[in-house]
Amino acid sequence: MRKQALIYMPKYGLLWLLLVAFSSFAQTDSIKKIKTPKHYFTPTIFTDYYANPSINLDDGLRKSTNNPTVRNKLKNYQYNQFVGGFYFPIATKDFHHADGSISNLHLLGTGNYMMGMPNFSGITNHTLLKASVGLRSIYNTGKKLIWFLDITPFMSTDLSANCYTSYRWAGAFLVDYMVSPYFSFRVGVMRSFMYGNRYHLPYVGLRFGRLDKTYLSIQFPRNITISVPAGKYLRLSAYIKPMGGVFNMANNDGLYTKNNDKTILYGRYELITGLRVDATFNQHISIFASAGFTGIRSVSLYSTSENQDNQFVLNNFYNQQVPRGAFINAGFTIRIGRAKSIYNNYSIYETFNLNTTIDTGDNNTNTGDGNIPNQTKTSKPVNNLKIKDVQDLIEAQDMY
Amino acid sequence: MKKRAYILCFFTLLVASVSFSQSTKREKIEALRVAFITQKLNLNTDESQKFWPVYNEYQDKVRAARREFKKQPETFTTDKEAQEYLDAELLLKQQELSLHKEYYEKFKKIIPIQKVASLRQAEEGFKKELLKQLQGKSNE
Repeated sequence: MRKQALIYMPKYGLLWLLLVAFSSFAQTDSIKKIKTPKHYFTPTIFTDYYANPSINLDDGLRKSTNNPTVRNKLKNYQYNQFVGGFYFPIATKDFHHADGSISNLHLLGTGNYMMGMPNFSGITNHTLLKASVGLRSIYNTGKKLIWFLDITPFMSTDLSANCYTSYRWAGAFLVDYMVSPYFSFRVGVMRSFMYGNRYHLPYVGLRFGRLDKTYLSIQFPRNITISVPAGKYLRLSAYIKPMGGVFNMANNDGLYTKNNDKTILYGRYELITGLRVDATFNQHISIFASAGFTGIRSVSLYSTSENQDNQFVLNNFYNQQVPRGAFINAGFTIRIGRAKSIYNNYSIYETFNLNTTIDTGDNNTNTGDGNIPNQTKTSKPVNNLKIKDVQDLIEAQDMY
Repeated sequence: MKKRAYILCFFTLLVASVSFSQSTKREKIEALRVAFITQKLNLNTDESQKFWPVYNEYQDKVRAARREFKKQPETFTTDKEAQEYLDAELLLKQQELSLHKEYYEKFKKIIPIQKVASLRQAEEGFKKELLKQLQGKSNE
């Protein structure tokens, strides 16, 4: 063993010397021993439940479909969905620059499990699954620019009947320019299925107002939101956003009769308008509840065989405009562990907001910005302050 | 089945809320400190944008060093333990001094030196506020 080490010594000598020098440097420099949190993002898990009531597909609509035969089979329509997801930091790297600023690179792993339950009273119930595991990378220059890249490959299948599993991917590439904490804009491109079809869309976003105060955010094609803090723990929002997706669905009800297709694609799109309240109890836990109306709304069915070689917008064999209705939406977010301090760091606030605006599973759900503390004018003393609460803020001699 | 899921969710939230109540108090203290320092230093937008990331990093390091020191036992039964305590205390002082020196240099690149000097006063002022609150509680 020793002999082997001696043989390799000249070859890797320089590397070995560097390692020894580095380790001895680390031992003598006491600062290096201080262990601070590694990441700005904490591992985060979230849930999101969405439902709207049963509705007759033709109610109040003059011309609702391009395929009355399929429509007559489907009858009433109701939709529920449950989303569970997570993201976690894989690596974070801070870069210190000569002008004193700090930039940082974040690599996040993402995962998403979504069950969509479209219930048509005329056919069997389906539980459609979409599950994804993805990666996203964010580079915050610490000044004005933030770069964002997300790749989300996902699988889609029908849990309730025999069906093929398909693999697709969604993604986004954005550049965010924060002119000041009061104004930012974003441009980029995204590949998404949330409009009930496969689209490659430009992204244009504008935000007016500080993220920790009242702001108006126009993020095409994801949402338009007005958000207002209500005290330290609550945030109220009014928003408009699209929701939807494309899912594999078993053709066990014979909705598509050509080519002997066993699997068809179910596409759903809704433009929803709602009010939302987010409660952030502390940096680790927040919940939200929302309700409102779905306006423009449609259901599409696509043949898999007809679209086999189609890499862009899918061609449907059935498209149905769905009457307006109500919806409810609720969920919670849990952030685990400690993160680096981010107080008043507006480029990190912007990074957090970018991360929540582009959700992890291309469902356009929103976990909320619970990790951005609301800015409130408070000078109230902290109740029940104990020495252990402040022991790492003050020095020993301060106590005397 | 659904009922069980709701009960499970409810208890998860409840347990999480209770177990993290400590961190809420800490967040309040941090928010008060940020407000205190912001007011005292009167930073403009550009200064603020560069200052807070560096200041947060500095605070994370100071806090981590103090937390590490607090792990030392407060009573000693042997000379070895007493020596370890003294060594740890010296190490903490050394780390704090090194951090002060390192980060004051960094702050000087970002904000005017007069504001760097005011920062120390603001930090001391905030500590006094905290101690006043602690003292008020012990006098009750």
